[in-house]
Amino acid sequence: MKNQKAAIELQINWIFVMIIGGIILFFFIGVVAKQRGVSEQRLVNELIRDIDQYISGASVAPRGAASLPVPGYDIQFTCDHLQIKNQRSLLESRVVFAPDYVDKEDRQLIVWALPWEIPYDVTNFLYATGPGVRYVFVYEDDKYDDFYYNFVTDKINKIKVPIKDAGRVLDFVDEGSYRTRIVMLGQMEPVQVPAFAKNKDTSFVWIPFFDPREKLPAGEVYFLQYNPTTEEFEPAESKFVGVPSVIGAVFSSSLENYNCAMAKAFKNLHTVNTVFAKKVELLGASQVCPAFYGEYDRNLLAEISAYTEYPGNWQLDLEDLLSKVASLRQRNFLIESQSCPLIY
Amino acid sequence: MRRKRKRAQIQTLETVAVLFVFFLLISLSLIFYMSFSKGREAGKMAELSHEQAVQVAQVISNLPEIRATQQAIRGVNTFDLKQLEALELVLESDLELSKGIYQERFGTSTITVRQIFPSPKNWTIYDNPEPGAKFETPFFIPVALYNPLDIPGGNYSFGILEIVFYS
Amino acid sequence: MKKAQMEIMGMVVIVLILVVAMMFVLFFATQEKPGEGIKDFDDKLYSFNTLSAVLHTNVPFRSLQMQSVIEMCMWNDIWVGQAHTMSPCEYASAGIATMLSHSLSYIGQDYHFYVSTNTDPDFYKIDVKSSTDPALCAGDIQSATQPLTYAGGTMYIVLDICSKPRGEIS
Repeated sequence: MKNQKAAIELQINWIFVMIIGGIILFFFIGVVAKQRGVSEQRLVNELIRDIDQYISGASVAPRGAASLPVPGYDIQFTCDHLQIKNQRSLLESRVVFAPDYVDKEDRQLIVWALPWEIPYDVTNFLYATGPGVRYVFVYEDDKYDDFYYNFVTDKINKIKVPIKDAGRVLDFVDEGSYRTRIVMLGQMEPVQVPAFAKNKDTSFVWIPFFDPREKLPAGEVYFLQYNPTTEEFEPAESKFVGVPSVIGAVFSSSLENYNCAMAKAFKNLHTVNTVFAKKVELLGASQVCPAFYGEYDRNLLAEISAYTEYPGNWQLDLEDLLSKVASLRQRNFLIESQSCPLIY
Repeated sequence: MRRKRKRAQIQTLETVAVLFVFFLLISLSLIFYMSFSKGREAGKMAELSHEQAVQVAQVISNLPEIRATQQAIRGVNTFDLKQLEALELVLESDLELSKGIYQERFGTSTITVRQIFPSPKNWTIYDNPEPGAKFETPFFIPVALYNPLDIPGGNYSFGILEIVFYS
Repeated sequence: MKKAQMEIMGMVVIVLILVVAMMFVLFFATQEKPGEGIKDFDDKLYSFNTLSAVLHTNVPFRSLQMQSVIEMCMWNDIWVGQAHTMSPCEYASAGIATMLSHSLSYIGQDYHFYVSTNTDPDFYKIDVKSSTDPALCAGDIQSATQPLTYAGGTMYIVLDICSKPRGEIS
């Protein structure tokens, strides 16, 4: 009887210990799991903040391309925001051209900025990409050599390839890039990609009439996206204004993102132009150098303002805008030669 | 028998007491940690507010609308006075711009350019304070102010750019 | 009784171990990571920016640049061309004092602005301070120096901004 009682007591004691031990264990596991989640969230928040600050810094003061080390998270880009996991940072009026995402395996974000002047400083265009995105340049005219070798930053994963005569197939090998962007410069006959690159992760951008030596080159740009149904690359047309927008077309993941970013650029142009138009009014009222800042100059700026009032329509009448920009540039030179206060 | 029952009760009481003390310690530590975290978060908010003020300062001091690019003094933020006045007037009159793109850029802040020498003058370019803001972070940058009307060549006065960021 | 005492001792030891473990955890958890912030506006650059802006400012008298007035001060302290009632050194000192008192002092910063030459580095022909406190700028300073050649050799224009946190009104 005594032994039985002791045995029962022992078992009950152990059950008691197990229950309490289990409660304590689960309590601590819960705390650790919660802390882990909180830490990860904090890391993502800090990373988004760092990238945002970096982009802000680059957008006001352009410098050479730089690499930002990032921990292992996919970074998604759209025209309006960048996103890591469930955290977003709005890009607002900042003009960013980037692929749709930068893979976590890249562990780096490459950021580059160029000033966009039309004809005055409007904003800086920002380009973001990762080492896993491959940029394959192809051109047949030597005039693009300087652009490719000296202008396009070496920090990106870029390569210039020849065209194999037979079938006009581009001559490059698979390096396991998760995105391939074929950049065709100048007029040329259609080219083919090697079989391994014929998929939705490859896209083309073609700028047939582009002279990088011009002050403000402008023209058509074609985005070719892979259609899995037809198994062909289908073109869609847009326009470019200035070398920074050519680079923007190279970095953009799609026509929609490119057009959206360019619309933001034109919205910035409208803003800056409004201030310069007001400046011309003030200079006119000051009676300094009365030969300038009159109706002609005011109308010039008013026309640029009118053109950029609806940034979504930036592609309409681009030639007209560029002729006004050229007139404004000439006018400013003339004012400078007379040692009068400049328009910009 | 009574003594054995009492011993068992004492033992159980002992175990419960230990557990009670244990959980009490855990609770006290958690309370302490949470109140410490709260204090640290407040510090982080202040730091964030400062960073945002610096960001706004960066944006405003590099704004193409007011920067005197061709007449800039090397290494110094140089603003064109006529462009500054123009921006002030535009933001006063054009609500679409002041509540749109400029509010995106400057947020809840007050931005003033103060000319100090040779004569005092102020331009409040942007004024959008946040009522009841917890933090008011001021930030100052020395600037050169270029007056293009003094021809030829214009002249420079000395000023400071004052940004007060509210959060 | 002995058994009970031993059991209590055991529990005390457990509680002590737990307390020590908690202290370790709290110690590491409460370690502050130094705030990184944006270091775009470097403190040294701030001194240099201020100094550069001061030197390029045009004074009301003949729209001369402050730098030119300082050069005249260092070279015999006489005006070249039309003269002012104040000497160049007095004029420059007054102008610089106005600029710095309404900017640096306004934001609660102490400062020391002075100009010396390579021939006599300890004598300051222009010496503008935020206060007469002998301990001024005894601690951390952010200093900017602009060397300039003038008729008499080389002069060094120095602006020391002393250690109050920048940007905060005291």
